[in-house]
Amino acid sequence: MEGMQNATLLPILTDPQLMAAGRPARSDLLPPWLSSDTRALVYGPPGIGKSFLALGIAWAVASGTSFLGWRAPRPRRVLYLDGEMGAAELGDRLALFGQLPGNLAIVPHDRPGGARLDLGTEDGIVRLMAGWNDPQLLVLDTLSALAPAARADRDHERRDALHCLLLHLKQTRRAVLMVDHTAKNGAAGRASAADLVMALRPAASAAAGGNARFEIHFEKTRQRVPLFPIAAELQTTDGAGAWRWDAACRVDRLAALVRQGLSRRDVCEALGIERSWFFRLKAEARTRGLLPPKGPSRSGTSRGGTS
Amino acid sequence: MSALKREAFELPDTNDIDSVNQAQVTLIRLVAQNQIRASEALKISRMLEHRRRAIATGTLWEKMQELEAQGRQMRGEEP
Repeated sequence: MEGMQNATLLPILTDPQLMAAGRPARSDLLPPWLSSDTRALVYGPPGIGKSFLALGIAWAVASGTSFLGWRAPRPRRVLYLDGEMGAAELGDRLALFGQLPGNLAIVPHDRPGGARLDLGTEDGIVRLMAGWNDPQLLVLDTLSALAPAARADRDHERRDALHCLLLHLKQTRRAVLMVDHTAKNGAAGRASAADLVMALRPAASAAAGGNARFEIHFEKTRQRVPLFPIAAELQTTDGAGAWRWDAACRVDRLAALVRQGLSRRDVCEALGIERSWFFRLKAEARTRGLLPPKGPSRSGTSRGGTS
Repeated sequence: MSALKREAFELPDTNDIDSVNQAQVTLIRLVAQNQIRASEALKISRMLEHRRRAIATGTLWEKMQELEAQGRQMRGEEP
């Protein structure tokens, strides 16, 4: 039997060996959905706000702050590769949110003196890796612009190169957020390359143009509990931007999950919220009658006849 | 169409991109010399193309490992 195992040359590990194997630790970048080896894809129709969403995620991860209720545990190095907007438009958008975090590096496609990156080629990948800031999150906005032929599956060699890069990022525990347009059939063009897919759909009351306003639907995840849709909107006042998201919708969902008997931790994970939000939303659910009123506190109950 | 002169033919060992290119050139010459049919050459050419992609991917992978190692060295991290 031992001889057979040796003959296969497959590194079959026993349970203790598997547990002891020196795997690089996986860490959370933006729990519950973005960790250090996530290959996430955001897709949606043109103009819906994909880049605004990607910038918001990049900003939160780089600065260790919150975004749409998700909180980055600590600041991480982020590299944002722009393939469509250009420096001027990027500057306008970033100006809405204040001073750029030190950990957030941005490469506009039209930067002076820089040839356009094509991540479907060896040259493009080598230039990227030779010049990057060892990012823990790489944002590709958009995949169609940064790896055009690979995106369209027209060129196998370019697709090989892009897959090679994505595999390398995963092995080195670097997260990647790919932004892409909706394919002609309405689906995500590169969903097979991602282990998490977020579809952006127009919000019910969305008007044409104006600020970003959409619903985020998690179509593919590896989470233990489902991630519910979120409605989000970017509001701008006096040159400053602020995101609003659907706390109200979450009250209903939280109430449903609590009624199902899920633990506080599981509810927080399912809704992608912090613990403090759990209590706020639960109180709101009680106010609305979605959950029974709070019972008497333990300190007020008689226990063991101590009175 | 004239009958083929059926003979064994040799292609270079395809160890790198240059030798794959050389093999493709040899195939074209064999067709021109009427030693193999164009359709046969096309099938072999497809095999060579797969080989070329595999070599290109392997080369890129090695290059990425090198760049990663250089980066770690510059940052003063352990190899």
